[in-house]
Amino acid sequence: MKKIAVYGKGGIGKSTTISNVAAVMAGQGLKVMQIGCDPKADSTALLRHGKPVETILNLTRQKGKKLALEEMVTPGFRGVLCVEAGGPPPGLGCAGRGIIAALEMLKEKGAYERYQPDVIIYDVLGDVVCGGFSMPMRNGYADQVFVVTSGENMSIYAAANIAMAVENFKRRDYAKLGGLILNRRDVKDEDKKVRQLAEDIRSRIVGDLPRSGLVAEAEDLAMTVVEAFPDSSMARDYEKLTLEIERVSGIDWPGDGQTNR
Amino acid sequence: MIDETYKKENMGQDRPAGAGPDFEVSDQARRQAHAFLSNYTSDVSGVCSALYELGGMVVMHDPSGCNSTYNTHDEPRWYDKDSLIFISGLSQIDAIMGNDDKLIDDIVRAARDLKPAFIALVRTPIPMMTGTDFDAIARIVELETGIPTWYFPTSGMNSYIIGAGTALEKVASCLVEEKAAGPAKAGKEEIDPAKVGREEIDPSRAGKEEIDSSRAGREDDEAWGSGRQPGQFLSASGPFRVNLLGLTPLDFSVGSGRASLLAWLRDHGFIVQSVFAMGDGEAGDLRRQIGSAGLAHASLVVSSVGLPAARVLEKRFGIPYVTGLPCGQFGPELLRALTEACMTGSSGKSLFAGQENGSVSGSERKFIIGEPVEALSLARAADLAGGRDWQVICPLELDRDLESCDCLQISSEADLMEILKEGDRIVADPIYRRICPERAEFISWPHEAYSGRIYRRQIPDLLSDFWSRLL
Repeated sequence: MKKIAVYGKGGIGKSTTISNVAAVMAGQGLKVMQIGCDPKADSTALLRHGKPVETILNLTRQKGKKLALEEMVTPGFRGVLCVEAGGPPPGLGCAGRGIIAALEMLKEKGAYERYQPDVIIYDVLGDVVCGGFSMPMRNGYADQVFVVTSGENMSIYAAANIAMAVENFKRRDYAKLGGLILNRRDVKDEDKKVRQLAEDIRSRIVGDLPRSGLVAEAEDLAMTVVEAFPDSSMARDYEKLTLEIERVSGIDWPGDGQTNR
Repeated sequence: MIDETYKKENMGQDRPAGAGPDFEVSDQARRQAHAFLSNYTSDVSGVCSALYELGGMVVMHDPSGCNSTYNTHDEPRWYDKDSLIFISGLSQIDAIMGNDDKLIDDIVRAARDLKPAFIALVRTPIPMMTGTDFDAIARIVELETGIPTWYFPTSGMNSYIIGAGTALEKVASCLVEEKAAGPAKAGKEEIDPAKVGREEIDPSRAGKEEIDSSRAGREDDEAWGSGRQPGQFLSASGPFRVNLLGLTPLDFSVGSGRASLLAWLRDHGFIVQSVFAMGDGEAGDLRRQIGSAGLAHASLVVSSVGLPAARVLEKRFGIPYVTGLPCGQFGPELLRALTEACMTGSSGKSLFAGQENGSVSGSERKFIIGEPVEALSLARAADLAGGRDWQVICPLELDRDLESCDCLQISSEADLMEILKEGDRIVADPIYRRICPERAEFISWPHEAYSGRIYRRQIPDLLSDFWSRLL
């Protein structure tokens, strides 16, 4: 079981990217679990044709410890196991603590043993603002962290912060930085800026996603590009990114020693 | 007699005991609120209590608020026996800023000075809420000190049963050494029939915990068919060795309970291999003794908190276990089960499973409230002597081994009041008297983990004739 966490500035396209990656992996025959760690609970929407997934925290509030594992895990496109941590309404409660409670609940209910996914992808809200948001990169959770960024200054700033957190946590045996995913916004000097960032944080760019209208079109259909436009060049770009993430994370395809590397 | 002072001050002169609060509350609030009862010692104190005598350094990561009750209310050994128990003194600014380095530095510095055998980090509600990563902190402390460092994910929301149970489980996992050469469990094939019998005990092999032969064989000579006393059977290597699991002051206080249990085992021909985890000597002695627990033939579990450790020892070394306290006539039954476990290497069926307590055959409703292994043992002892129909009520977490027992798990004060209002005879800690009907006969059974030191002098030795009060 390989576990990766994806971070990045809010609105940079993490959930869209991850959902497409999950769809590609599932198409390769891998069993994938995608866990949204965001109170908005919309990480897996594109894998579910927009149908909402009941969040772990809502279920916990309603049912307490009696809640069943099956209620927290909903199958999506190509059988991707969709999970949403959920969280408090804006301005209330403690979202970070919510992520901790939700991930602990999944563990307590034996989700990983029961479903035995080949790959778990944690889709984490924005920046590492508190202990709760570092939970997915802690020991026992993700092995690799990928950061989605564009060439926009705020996005690069957030990516640098996340990389710094990973570096600071080295002593704690947390996840390692797998690399940057460039999700282009076509801003000036985008290549140069992101390459510089990669150099500064001693990492590399593992994927380069062009700005494409197909992404928005697929979103309007509440689907991933991989599902809505499987023959498009954008779908090929997601496949290429997936192969690189798999290579960096040591994810092998199922079957008789078949490998993507 | 009802606690008149409390009644006047808190319930109103004319309100009958057991009548409940004099105001409207929602059903949910009613089931969560405690107006008259206390709460049991928390999981945090449970960890500290279980590890107190083992020579480790225990650190509660807390501002020294509510958890300082450990030394004031939950630890009767505090003034008589040294132990390295600390509270970190977590401040608001450290919690906000995630200043884990301060905690790490303090622990590392103290550990270098004090050289504990192990370090235990105990979580409390504040770091639980802020999501402090104790696993990572423990790893760093262990790397920097070279001392085994454990983390206990307590929350202050559970009772000592969870805390002490988890701590003793860790002790069984980490402090018990892999066995040296020689058989550890007594399978049937290891019993040499030629050596069966008291006369085969070689006094030269006896350690300091070995039996006093002059005290053995005093009762039940014909109790077990062969004419021999069960404990007289020997393994190929001598008398059977037994671990005593689940002994902490929270359930046994600091009276004669521990000594009585040791004497009972010795009197029946067993060697006490280890005690988890109360001793009468230096911390190092008890820890060394526990280190050899893997050499035992069986374990005797005398309270719920010993059950997780018993399962670890069974898994690691194949050591079977038997659960119960040898009260009154339950003693011979327990003795037989323990000896069988030693001989067969199998834990066998729980002595409490299928036991029907509190059935409606009697005209009286009789309840025992308390720690389930102790309460079930008392009920069994009474039952065997004709005092039938005692219903055990457990207001604490019920270990999975005890789920099949006839034991009502009720922790809500409202639910307890509802069931106790029909009680004719009730055995419980004196604090429960506040919600018992005045007409009921109340038999006081103080529990250190519930009323602390208030009634400590009245805590009975359960191996005495206390059980006969249930007849």
